[in-house]
Amino acid sequence: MAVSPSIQQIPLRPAAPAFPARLRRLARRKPVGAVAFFVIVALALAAIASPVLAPYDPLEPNYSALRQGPTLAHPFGTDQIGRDLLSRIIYGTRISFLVGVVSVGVAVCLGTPIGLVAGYFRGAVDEVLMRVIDGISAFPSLVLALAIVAVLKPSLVNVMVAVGLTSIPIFARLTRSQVLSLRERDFILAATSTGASDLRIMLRHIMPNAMSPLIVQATLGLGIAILAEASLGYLGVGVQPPTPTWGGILNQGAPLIERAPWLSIAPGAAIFTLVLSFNLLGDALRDALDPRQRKG
Amino acid sequence: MPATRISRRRALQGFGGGAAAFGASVLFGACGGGDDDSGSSSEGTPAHADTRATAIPSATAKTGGTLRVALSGDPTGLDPSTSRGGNDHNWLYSIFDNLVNNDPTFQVSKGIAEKWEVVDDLTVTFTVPASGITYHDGTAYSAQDIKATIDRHLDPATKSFAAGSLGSVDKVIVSDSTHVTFKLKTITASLFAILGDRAGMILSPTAVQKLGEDFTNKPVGSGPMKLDNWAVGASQKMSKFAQYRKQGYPYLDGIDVQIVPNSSVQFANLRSGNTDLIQLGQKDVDAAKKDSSVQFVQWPSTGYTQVNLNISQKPLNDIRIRQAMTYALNRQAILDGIYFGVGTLANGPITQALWAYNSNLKPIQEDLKKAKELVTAAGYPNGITFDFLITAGEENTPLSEMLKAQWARVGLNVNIVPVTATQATTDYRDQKYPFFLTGFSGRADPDLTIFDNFHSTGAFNRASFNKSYTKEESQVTLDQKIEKARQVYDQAQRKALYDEIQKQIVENAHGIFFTHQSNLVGLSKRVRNFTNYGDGKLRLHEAWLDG
Repeated sequence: MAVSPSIQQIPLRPAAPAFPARLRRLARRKPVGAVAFFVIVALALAAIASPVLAPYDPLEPNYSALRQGPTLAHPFGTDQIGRDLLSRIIYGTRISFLVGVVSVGVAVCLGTPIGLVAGYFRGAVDEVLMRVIDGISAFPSLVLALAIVAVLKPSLVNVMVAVGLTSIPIFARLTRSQVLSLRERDFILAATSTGASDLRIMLRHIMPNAMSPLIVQATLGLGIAILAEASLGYLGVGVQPPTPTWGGILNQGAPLIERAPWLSIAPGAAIFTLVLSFNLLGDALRDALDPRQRKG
Repeated sequence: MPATRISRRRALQGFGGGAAAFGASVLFGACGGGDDDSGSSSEGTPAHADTRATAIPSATAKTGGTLRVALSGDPTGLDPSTSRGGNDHNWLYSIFDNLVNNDPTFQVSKGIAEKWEVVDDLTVTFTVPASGITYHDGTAYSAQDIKATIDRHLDPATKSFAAGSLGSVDKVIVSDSTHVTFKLKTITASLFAILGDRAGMILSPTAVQKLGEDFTNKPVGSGPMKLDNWAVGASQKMSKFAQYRKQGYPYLDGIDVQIVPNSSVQFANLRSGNTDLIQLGQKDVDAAKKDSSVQFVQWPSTGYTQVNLNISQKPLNDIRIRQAMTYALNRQAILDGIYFGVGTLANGPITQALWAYNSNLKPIQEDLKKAKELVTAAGYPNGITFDFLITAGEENTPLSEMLKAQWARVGLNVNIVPVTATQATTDYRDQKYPFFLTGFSGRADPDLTIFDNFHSTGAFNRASFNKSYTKEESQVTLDQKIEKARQVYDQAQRKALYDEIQKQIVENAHGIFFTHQSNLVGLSKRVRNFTNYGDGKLRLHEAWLDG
């Protein structure tokens, strides 16, 4: 069926403003989200530029400055073996981002296809896949991560794997719910009637339309993953010493909270700031990407 | 030869003579002293001088009340044969009665045995009651139970951890209802110290037979307290055993032990009045000293902090690497940073708490140049990397990081491998790692510390588990000296031998020692007459509660 050229040329909606302009508009509408975004960018830059920003080697003890409170030389103080806490926090940012990004990446890469396949094919495939997901969800995520790390031995890679695996269900379920709704829409029916393959329909027609909630969830997931890494580190099964991680630093500081409170305050504040920023950014993105909440 | 008998007996009974004098000064001479958190504890007044205060004057003992104790973990078991933890004694001494006891200053004192006599080099006879002792299960004691207890340790089927220390016992003979004779294969100077420990805790034979392997969960002895309930990981409840051998004891109606793994929580509970007795962490010493609502007791421990070396494993089978490891250490930083200055710098495996302490031996000073030369001489001019086994924890984790940084300065690069305590014990025994970060709580007699840790067949010497181990020259001579020292009764002679042994252990780095520890106890104000035993293990039959 030929389509009239005149109809084809009718714009369906006004041309979208340029990307920077959209960002500015978004920042005006969601100032808290914008601040969170800048905090995340600043910390990400700190992670990249750790060797330049950190005033001291994060692993180098200074035996003349053992467990020293905050001073000009050591603004966050020093730990039990005289290492500069500010430098350790700055280097710890690297691990937090790395674990956050990689584990969410693992969860998205595994969870999304599962949800996509389950929701698209439904029936027995859906039943099997979602019961497996239900099985994973049955465990509290931190307990499951602990068990995985205990089996695989604590290391950076294994922590990322553990945190990633425990985050799979949420992405699988979210994708499935999107797919279930999208696959009934007319444009999918149209694609099917043109003889498009299942794979093509899933990847070219369904996934692009299911991305918005996944992006929001991934942002929130980053915060959850960073918190999970810190929790594992705090429990002593995270990335292993002497690698500086926020959870690990908190783990060593917590028993000394009365004697040397700065050892707990600095990593605690760092975890709080980054996780809160990801949550606020996720909230802002959700509002921004939700058509029902768009004005005008 | 009566003369010989008397001199040997005196010698034996006087093992603790030096210790007694020292102990007396510890108990009474240094009261109220010990501001020891200065960090300069390697010189002058011992940093862990006793601080047992006399702030609360002694009064007539009161009976009744339940003592609330917080300890960091469960015992590994409560069968004196098969339990293996250094903290198990905190329960065992309340539940069981020993044949003889080690008194607070490591002197042999009466237990079930009222007298003992060294008949000849290889024969020791104990005079014991014929009757009048009852076990917690209501059965009556007889002298045969002593033989049954020792025989059970020596039976390989029991797999007793005390079997090694009783290795020189040939047999136990019950001559009559009041005399039990130990026939020895070799002179065993530490026999009384051994019998004052796990090996001499007398078990109810009826309960042993009836309970089998479950005896470790439901122990039955004739001690001052009986175990009523053990909720694993949570608590142990003990109550007064009314038929206890020593009339009038214990004063307490019961002891409730709560398992509280976090030392900060233990201390908070003590300060808030929810606990009566805790073993303090070094980090809380300052706060405990300043807090007038609690009592603080500190006295020298037989325990030391160290890395346990498997000298049959590469690269530690090279004496130069071991020496480099010890010369590369800044022990003062370890004492100040990890142990908050509480304790003293270690000069070897025997601490000031024991008569065999070698005061002429100085802690090894940091010498990075020498350490580097040794590493190079060992064939590693560009350094060497090897694994370092630890059990992660409040002290171990930062300590392992500090050690890693200190050793890295001389080319000794270690990979920290943190595992659980159970895993670590198995892996280390199975020769998977060359060394392991673990302290040692010390023993009442130097032989028990030295032989088990540093003799090539010692129970805690992991080289002894390595079938392909060939002894190095220093180990051969060390073995000879250790064997000789355990076969001498005269304490002065033993002291001279142990001085030499300690020097060799330190100089040839058979062990690497950091600090000598202090026993640290926090008590609520209502606890009276707490007795601080040299080994730091709790014996609470003399304690009582005021209010």
